[in-house]
Amino acid sequence: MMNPLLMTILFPLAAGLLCFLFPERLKRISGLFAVLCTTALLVFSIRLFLNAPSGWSEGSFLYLKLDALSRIGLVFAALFGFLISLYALTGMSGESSLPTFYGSLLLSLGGSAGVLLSQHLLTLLVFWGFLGLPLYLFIHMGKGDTGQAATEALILIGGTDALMLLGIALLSLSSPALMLGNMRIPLSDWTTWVAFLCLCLAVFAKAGAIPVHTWIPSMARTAHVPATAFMPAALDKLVGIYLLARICFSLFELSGASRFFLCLVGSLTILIGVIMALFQHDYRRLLAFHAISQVGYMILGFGTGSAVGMAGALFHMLNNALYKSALFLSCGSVEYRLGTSDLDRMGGVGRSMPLTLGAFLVSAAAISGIPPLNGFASKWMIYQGVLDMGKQGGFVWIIWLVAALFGSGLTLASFMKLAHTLFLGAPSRSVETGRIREAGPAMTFPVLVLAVFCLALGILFYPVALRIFIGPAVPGLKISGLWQPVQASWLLFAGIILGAVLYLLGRVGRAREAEPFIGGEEGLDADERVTGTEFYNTIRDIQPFGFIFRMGETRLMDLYHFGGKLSFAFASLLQRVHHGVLTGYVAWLLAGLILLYILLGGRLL
Amino acid sequence: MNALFSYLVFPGFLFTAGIGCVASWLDRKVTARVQWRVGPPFFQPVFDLAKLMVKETVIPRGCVRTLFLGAPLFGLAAVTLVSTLIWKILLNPETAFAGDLIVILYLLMIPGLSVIIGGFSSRNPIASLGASREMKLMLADELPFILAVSVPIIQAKGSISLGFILGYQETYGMILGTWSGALAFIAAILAMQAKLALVPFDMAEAETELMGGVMVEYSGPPLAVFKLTRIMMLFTLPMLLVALFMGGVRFSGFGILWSVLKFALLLVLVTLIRNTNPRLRIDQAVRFLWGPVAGIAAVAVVLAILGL
Amino acid sequence: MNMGFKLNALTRSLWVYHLSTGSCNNCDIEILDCLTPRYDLERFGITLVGSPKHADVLLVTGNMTLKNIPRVKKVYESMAKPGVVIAVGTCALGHGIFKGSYICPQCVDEVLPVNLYIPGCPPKPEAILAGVVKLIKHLREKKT
Repeated sequence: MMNPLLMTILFPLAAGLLCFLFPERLKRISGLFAVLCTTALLVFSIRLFLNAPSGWSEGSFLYLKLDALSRIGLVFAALFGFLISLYALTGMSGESSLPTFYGSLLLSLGGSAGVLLSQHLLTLLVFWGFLGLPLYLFIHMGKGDTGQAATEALILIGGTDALMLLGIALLSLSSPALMLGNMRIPLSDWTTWVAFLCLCLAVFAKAGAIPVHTWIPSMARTAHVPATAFMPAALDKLVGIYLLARICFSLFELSGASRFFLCLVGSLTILIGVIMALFQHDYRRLLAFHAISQVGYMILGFGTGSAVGMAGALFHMLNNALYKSALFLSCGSVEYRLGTSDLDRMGGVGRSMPLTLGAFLVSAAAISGIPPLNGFASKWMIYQGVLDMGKQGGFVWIIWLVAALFGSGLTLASFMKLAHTLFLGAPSRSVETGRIREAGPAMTFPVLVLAVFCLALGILFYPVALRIFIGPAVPGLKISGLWQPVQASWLLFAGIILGAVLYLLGRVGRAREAEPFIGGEEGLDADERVTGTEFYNTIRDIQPFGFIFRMGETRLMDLYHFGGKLSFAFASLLQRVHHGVLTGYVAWLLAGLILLYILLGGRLL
Repeated sequence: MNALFSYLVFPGFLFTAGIGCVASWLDRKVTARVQWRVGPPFFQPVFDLAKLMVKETVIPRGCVRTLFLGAPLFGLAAVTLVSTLIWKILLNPETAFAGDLIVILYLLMIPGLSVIIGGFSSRNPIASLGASREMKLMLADELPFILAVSVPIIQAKGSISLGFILGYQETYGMILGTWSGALAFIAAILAMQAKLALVPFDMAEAETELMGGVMVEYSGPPLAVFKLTRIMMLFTLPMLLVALFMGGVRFSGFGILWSVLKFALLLVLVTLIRNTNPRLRIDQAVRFLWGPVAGIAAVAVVLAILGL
Repeated sequence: MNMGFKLNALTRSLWVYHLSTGSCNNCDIEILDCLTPRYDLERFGITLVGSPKHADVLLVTGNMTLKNIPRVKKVYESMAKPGVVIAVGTCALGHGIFKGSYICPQCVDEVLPVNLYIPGCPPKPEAILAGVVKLIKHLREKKT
């Protein structure tokens, strides 16, 4: 029997490779095979979660260990793998290259297990880099112009991976063992600072924070919805924020300046991401920008440096993965039925897809932080963290607090827009003509499970989420005096019952149906209906919204775009030197030799 | 059981609804007096609610029925919870827990949210437009309100608990008495006006152009629940400001009179603002709330940081 | 709950939806006069509302034109019951000077069940008030 930790890495990798071997004709079989494998993996991870085995090592590089932090990531990664592969059974049934999809899914599960378990930084880097491969395949499988998005993702992720290597190399100067254990390197000189920044950039690129976030919206536009719900919305967050947690907990001893840096990046990411999301016309891009904005909360939470804030950030990572996947998948179900992702042509399916609508509303409320759902609990902890930081003096924290609070209001606004355009409001022409119904049990079940998780983790925040998942993973967390939502939830429930009693007294059950009243008009044509896309046009020109939105649209904030321009400019400079005339090259050679001679001059003579 | 009693009877649902009805009557009476009219009788809000309760419910054809009828309930449940929380802390600051202010701020979003969801699900373009305005208004008032609320937080040494802020005011005098507190109070009143959807910020309902806007399709008991939520908000929000800026309430001797006076003053102020201003367009409202009002609040925050 | 209680509750808070079916606006102005400080209908809990779904009273003015008839029916249908219909002005009662015109074949009471007629061209606010008071009395007596 192999060591169980090694199994969690090797089993999905092997299964994934096997998946690639399935011929296109057997795509349904490959799907079933993948669901079986992910189910097995989920059961296995839960067992690992319940009784953690001892570590496993081979040589000096391979050292696997399961601690409180990595086991949260492991079990949730397996959960997402299972749900998404189940969803894809129907959701992707019409697509080609399904074996590749399932293969990549399993490969990325194996890769992320590797990242979560390895204790040596170089092994971690290998798995981390390996995760880029399935991502690239996922993007490549999509529809339309996938090349650009794939290149962008590859350059941003690959580039930051290289930076991470540099960071690790610099780290080895001060701590040659490179074991995650307990390095706690103080940020004292410039080498540690550069190492810290390099590692942070790698995290930002993977999780999607300003300024290396742009691959997520580009990917969301073309890739399949389950792929987007799996990688950037769930798995990359788990893995990326896991590394950030490691950086904050054990790799470095964070100083005030580095915390300020994290808080700044976090707050900017929250606001810019959500403002960009507010005005999007394509639901996938809208959700992608929210995926970015939510990362801001996590980074902010880690930036606070207080135990509550960091625990909140970790919890927010789980929550975000839950509700963001639920949102992607429920909107994906609508798209599956309607065949378009353009908000202007969607709408009014709420009556025919009530389960999906319910799951969507729960997860939308969760992402906007409506109590007593899980998003509120984690945001609350992050705010507490910011206040803890404030108690140490200084007044910058008030900016972080206002940015985070305001960002969550903006989030609510953009999800209301989405709720109206997708589910409520008047039906669009395609909805009226087509017969829309729920998207089948294999697609509805994962969405509902995720929504129930959002609800349950919110209400049972204290006994379940904090005690079992988060508490053990955060060193020095005092779990007392925190928000206890059980009573509040019961009271809210009592209030709803109270309202229902009022309804009973008023005999609402005998309600009569009548035409909507539109000022006496005869009923509007489907072309005249109010879609939600224009909702915020009236405020788009108000500063500083307009400014940020235009900057985002013209890609002024885009490091990828900037970097590309810069390197092309550099290349064109070199191009001019390459004119192809022999004497010119000889002259350059000679000049180089002379330079060398001068530089080394003294010693040669 | 105790919690359930305090939620449903005192200081929760029944109490808040009762005082809310008085507040609503005061609002209408003052409006009438401003316009040199006699105004409605004392029990008018109660009559209105009772009448709506006995009326028939009409549902727009083709709407999402559960959501259309369910949306008002969430608002009612949330506002009851908020008022219970605020009152429990006002009566007994020891019941406060860390971060309760954030819970209150977020719970206060739910009534607006329920109105929006209700408007969206009524399948009426007018309601959709009204709901989108309500949403934008919520966005607009959020920023100045958060900034204004952060002034008491800063003054109370970074504590975000309402109970602690009350205790701080007990020793150091009410926050309204400081320069930063006064400025923040002005901003908070204007943001509250928007949260209560009163003129000049009633563009979501806009009877003259949108025929009731978000609520155009509601009738009978669901409308009664919405109106009740409004009425309870009319009591809850001013009470929150009294707690944050004016040192809360006291229940002994002249304290009772003084507490009632604080609330009534705030309410009359709100009513006067609503009677002396025209309705703004939504973009004007957003500009106003993010511009001058948020500016005042930001100045207040800076002053609070400087310790003024 | 019996009908009497409902009607009693209704009389204490009448919400009026004002519907002009092609009037010359004189009646409409007189109706608005009732809300002014001099007459102040809010004393009786009467207010104007924007949507017929909120309304208890459908107040119809004007000589029901051909084009308006289906719309009036629709508005009446969307009013939550119990509710009353009041016809105000000579045109609404019997077409007034438009009698015999091809454009207004029916009076209000041929389309809707009218509970109260207030004649006049236009009726004075006092007349409207008197009518409303009579209606309230009538509804309250009905309960016993």
